[in-house]
Amino acid sequence: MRKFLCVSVSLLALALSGLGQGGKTLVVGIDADALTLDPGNFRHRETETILRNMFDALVTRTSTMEIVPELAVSWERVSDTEWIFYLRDGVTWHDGTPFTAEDVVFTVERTIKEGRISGRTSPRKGLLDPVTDAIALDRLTVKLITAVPYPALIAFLPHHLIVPKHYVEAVGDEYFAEHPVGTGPFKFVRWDKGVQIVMEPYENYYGGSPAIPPVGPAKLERVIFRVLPETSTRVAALKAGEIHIATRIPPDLIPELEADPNLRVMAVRGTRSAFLEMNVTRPPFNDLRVRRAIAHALHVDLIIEHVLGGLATPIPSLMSPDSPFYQDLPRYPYDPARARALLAEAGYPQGFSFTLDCTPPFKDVALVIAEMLREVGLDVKVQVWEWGLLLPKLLARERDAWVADWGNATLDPMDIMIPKLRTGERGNYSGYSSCLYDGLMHFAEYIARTAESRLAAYQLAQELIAYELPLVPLWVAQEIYGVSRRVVGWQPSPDSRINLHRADLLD
Amino acid sequence: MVLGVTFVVFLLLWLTPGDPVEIFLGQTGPITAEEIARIRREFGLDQPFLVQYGRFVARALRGDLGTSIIHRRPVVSLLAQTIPATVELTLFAALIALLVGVPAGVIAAVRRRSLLDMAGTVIALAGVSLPGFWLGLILVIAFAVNLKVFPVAGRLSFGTGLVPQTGFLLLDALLQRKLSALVDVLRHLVLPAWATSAGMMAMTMRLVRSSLLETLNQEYVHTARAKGLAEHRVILAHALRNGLLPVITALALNLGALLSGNMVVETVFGWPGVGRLVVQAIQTRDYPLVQGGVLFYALTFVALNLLADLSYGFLDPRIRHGRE
Amino acid sequence: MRRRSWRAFRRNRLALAGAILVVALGLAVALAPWIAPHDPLRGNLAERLRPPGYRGGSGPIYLLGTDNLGRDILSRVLHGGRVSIALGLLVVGVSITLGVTLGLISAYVAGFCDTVVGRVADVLLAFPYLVFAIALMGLVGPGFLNLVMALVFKEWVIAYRIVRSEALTLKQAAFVEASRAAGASPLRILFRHLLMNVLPSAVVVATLRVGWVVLMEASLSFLGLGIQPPQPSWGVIIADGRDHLFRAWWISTFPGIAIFLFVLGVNLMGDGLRDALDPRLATERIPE
Repeated sequence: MRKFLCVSVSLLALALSGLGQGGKTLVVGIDADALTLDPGNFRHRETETILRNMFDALVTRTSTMEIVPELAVSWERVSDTEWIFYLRDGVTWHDGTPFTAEDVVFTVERTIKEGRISGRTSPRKGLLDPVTDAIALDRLTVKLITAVPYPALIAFLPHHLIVPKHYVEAVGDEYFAEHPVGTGPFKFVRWDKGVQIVMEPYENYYGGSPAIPPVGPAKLERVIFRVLPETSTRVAALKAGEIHIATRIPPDLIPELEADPNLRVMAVRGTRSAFLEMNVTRPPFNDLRVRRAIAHALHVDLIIEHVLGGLATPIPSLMSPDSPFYQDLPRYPYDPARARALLAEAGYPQGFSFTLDCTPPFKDVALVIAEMLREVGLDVKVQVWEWGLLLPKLLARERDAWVADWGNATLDPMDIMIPKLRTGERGNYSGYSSCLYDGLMHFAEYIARTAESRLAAYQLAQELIAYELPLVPLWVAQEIYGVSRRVVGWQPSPDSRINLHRADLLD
Repeated sequence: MVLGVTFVVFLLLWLTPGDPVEIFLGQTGPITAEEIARIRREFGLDQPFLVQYGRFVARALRGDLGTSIIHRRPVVSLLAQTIPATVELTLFAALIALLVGVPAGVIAAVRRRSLLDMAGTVIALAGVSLPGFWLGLILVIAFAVNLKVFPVAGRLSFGTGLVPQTGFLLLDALLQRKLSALVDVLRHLVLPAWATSAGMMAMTMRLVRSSLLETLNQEYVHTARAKGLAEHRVILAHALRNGLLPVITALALNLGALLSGNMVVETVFGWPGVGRLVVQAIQTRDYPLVQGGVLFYALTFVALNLLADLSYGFLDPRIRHGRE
Repeated sequence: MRRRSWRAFRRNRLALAGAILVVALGLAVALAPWIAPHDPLRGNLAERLRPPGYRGGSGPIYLLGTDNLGRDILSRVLHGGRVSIALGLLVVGVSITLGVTLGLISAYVAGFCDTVVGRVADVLLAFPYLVFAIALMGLVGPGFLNLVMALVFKEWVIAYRIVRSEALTLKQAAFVEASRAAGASPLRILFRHLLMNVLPSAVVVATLRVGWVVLMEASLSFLGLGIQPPQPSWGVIIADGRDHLFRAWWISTFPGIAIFLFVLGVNLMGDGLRDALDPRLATERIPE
């Protein structure tokens, strides 16, 4: 009994001796740790979300996805393949060294030249591929040269964070990956891997993009990104007041957060387009009438309302309404009778059976879709896969239909229309192949001389897809954040990056 | 044996569909076939199966497990960061399980069919029949959200000044003589250790009970009783010592399973352990990292088996003599 | 079962209670298609996340509430139990049979045979479970029988190790030596003495493992490798409900209770069986 008392007393002591994280320490609960702190060596969304606070890029985006200057003051496209960037003066790295054009050249070369990071090539090369050279014209002027005309260059640049030449060369790639030095609003303090990344404001910060006020050093005293992979745990930590921003909240949990007077829900339309894709290389989905029947059988608005909490925007084709390339087209109306008629016309008056594949996040959506398809006489089974297993089967065209999405963080069609549907592309799981579509892509990418003709080509292509339906476009879902009411000066951004430069924490 | 395990895993991974490079590159931006081929080449994935395995073994013998495709850092350093977290949590949980499970089992056996026995049975069963994530989340909601007595998740707060050296934070805190850090680490340990130990505790209790009941019936126990030894000496010195045999086998197995990383608890409590690392590696087909993890498991099992075997000899003189 | 054992079992009230619990649950689950009030697979999106006891507009009662797709939890728990219990029994049955057989042979025959099986068991134990499960499901596709295979694959080792270590001890026990000296055949020793004496442990292990298998099924189903939707299992329903734990506790709780009651019943029954089957413990009650 005495032992029990001892144990309970010491447990109580433990319980009450919490370590306060007082002051203006803003904690973000994020669902995955950074893979590395080297901005040149990853392909991972959460890593970019975190690094964004320690590094800046030549340009950045506002929370409405407009591209604005950051480390570059301005830029001009001097020819089809040459761009000149004029850099901001007076910017310093976290170690005090001035930022110059040499750093930009170093960053670009580290990204596009082979074997530059610990003997390996940067995995981000593909995100800058048409760039062949970077030349420092003077201390604050850089010229980028592309192999072919590459109008989308500027849309990719916010994702290329600039790294310090002098520091990386001095400490080496491996040390840099764990002890980063950037030009961003926050400087690195410590990384307890798998647990947290701690940053503090850089006192000599130049203030960030003048296009996004207020300009100046960060207001917070400290920022901590806490790794909390389990959704319910993130919500629990938010409710307990241990974190102030929680990422990736599922729509079902919104009422729970709204019921808490200390919390609010912030949502922003994301950049991932969701589809019901079909294998168009074999029956039954090689028949356009069948694909249209599917489109008519889906009550997309109902799914959005009930499964996604109303937080998604239906799309008529591939592009998000936020993209300047978006083409507003009529959607296929929900019409089960029409769907049945089309199926009968295609020779399936009794319907047919197939398996609808998906990954775990789409399970509920797939189940509801299967229900709707059953209404028009189709016998649909749902199979949930781990992505690693499903992907090779999709690439081998062994499956019939599946629900999936594709990220389009740049909002440029290059990033989604080409990989998703051009003949033979790696994301073209449906096996769609159209000379017209491929031609339009080629025209927009290499031939179009003006922004207008490029836009026209992409919009025509979207119309083509809406007509031929190798995939039934579903929606662009909103990304939902749970946020403490103490947080001010922060807006979620469609590209999912969390920039805390202008955030503050009320007492 | 270790060689066998790694070979089988290598073969399985090789047979399993899924391309690490495809998964790694994800969906951002246009990616050319040349780029995929180059990454495959850089990681030696373009080589024939046996060449890849041979290289792995040759490197592993030199203590180099290669570079993770996803993390792009040496596998050895990734494992070195996560293994101590898992080991610390597991040992702490095992300690709790033993401290509670063995006495509870003894009491249940001695007071068989009593109210205590029945209550113990029901509690033990509750422990094994709750899904780990369910128990974990309930603990979080109760103790972290509502009572706010323990932190929701993580392993260490910021501001303790603790510098991780061994990776075993309790040990680090002791070495650096930082009491506040020690308390902070313990606070983070309580809930995940509780969730981890629930199953083990139940298993220990049940096994101690059943095997003690058996040994209490053995000749030598009757003899000891007949010699007039006090009942608690009979139970503790004679019966329990022999009754612990199957318990140790089971515990060693259980410990091994837990050391390979309790994925569920690690996820719920944001615990930076090896289980989560390796499961993610499997899902992303990060072959070098999976191999490194498997090697760790294999070595752990060998070590635990050895320990279990040694403890048999120590606890059961018959086997000890039988071996001689 | 011998008559004396049966009487002993019946005398044990806890065990009887356990047996009744298991039979009741088994019956309810077996009769699910006839007694479930709703279709377990189809939901009504207008009736999402309804609390237990909710009565819909058109009159149907959702006794245990509905899930996030408006499916009736009671019906899902009833139907889910069919899958979970079948899986648990099948996996543990096969594994225990395999483990006991190999464990006895290993301990009794010793030598080369013991070494080989022991090494295989070691390799399997050292083998990370998920690697195997994912690889297998990748090769042959997810499905019920594949799931059984994936679970048995490692599960038998547990019984094997415990049985082997017990049998090793028993082999040198006085009564076995005596029986051997009296000229009993090896088969008789194996079955009459060793098997009957390791059975209690096997039963204890089996009962504890049924719950484990059901829970493991939940983890695998959660990774998309187990029971395929829309088919529910207890594990699937619990995993489905975990994101709704704050708002709709009933989704995970009722299948959780079902698992708990089932495991409790099987365990109490196992205890009773153990006492009844164990010849040494049975003599305890015969006055000396």
